[in-house]
Amino acid sequence: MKKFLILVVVFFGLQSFAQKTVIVNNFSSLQVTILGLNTIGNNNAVYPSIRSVTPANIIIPAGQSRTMSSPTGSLTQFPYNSTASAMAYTQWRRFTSATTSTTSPNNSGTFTTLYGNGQKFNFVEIRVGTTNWKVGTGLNGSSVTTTSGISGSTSYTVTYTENVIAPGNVQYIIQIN
Amino acid sequence: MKNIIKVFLTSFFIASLISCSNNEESTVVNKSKVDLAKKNVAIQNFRKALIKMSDNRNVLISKTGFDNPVMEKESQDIIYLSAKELLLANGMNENEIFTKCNNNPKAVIGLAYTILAQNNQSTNISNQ
Repeated sequence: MKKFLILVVVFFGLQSFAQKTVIVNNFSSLQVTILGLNTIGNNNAVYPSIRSVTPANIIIPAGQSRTMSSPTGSLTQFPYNSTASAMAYTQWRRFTSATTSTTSPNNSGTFTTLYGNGQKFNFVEIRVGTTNWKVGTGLNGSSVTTTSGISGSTSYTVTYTENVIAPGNVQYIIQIN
Repeated sequence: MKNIIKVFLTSFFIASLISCSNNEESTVVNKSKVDLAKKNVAIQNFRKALIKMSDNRNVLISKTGFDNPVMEKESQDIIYLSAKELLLANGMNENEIFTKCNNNPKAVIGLAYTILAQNNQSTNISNQ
C-alpha cells in the first residue's frame, strides 16, 4: 500500500509539470530568419552549451509564428527533440569549451548522454533584414532582451519575455513587431 | 531504499510513456463549435494585444536575477481578455478553460500562444 501511494504521488507530481516551449512571433512586415538556438545549464555557466546545427535556416514570413516544444515532457532537459516542431532541428552540437564540441542527431540513443540534465533556453539567433540579433536571457554577454533596428525604411523592435505558467512550465517568447 | 528507487523509476517510466502518448494533444478544440470568422477576429485581437504589451514593455515587464524578463500582472492584464476570447472562439467553454488552466491567467495566455502558433496567418497588423 505504501509503495502504491508513493507511486501515485510521484506519478501525479511528474504529470503536473509541463514542457518548455520556445515561441517566435513575427508581427512585423519583414521576413525573419531563425539562424539557430542556444541553451545553457540551469547553473548559468557558459559551458556546456548546446547549439542547433542548422540544416537550413527557418524562415518566418511576415505575420507568422514558429514554435519549438518538447515531445518528451522532460523535467530537466530542454526540448531538443524538436523534429515534430515548426522549428525543427535534426542535429545539435554540445560545446564544452569555445573550441571543443560534439554533435549528434537529436532523436538518437545518445540524446540523454549528449545533452545531460538541467538545460534551459539561452537565446535564439535571428536575422531581420540584413541584421543578426541574439535574443534571449541576456546571459554570457551575448544576447539582448530587447532591441530595435531599421531595415530599409521599416523600423522594428524585438523583445524577449518569459511566461512562467508554473515551475517547470515556461514559454520563452521572442516577438518581432 | 532500493524499493523506493525502483518505485520512482517505474513511475517515471510510466509518466514518460503517458507524456509521449499525449504528444498529439495540442489544445482543446471542438471543431463543431468553432466559428472560423470569429476565431480569425480573436486571433487578430490577441496579436494586437501582444503588440501593445510589447510596446509597453519597459514599464510592464520585470526582470529577475539573471535578466530574465518575466511577464508580470500588468502585462497579463493587457492580453488576458483577448487570450480568453481566443480560447472561447477556438471551441472551449468557460468550464473547460477553468478546468484546463486551473484558474491561472498565465495558463490561459499560454494556451492562447499555442493556438496562435498553430494558426499561422500572414496579416498586416498596425500598431494602432
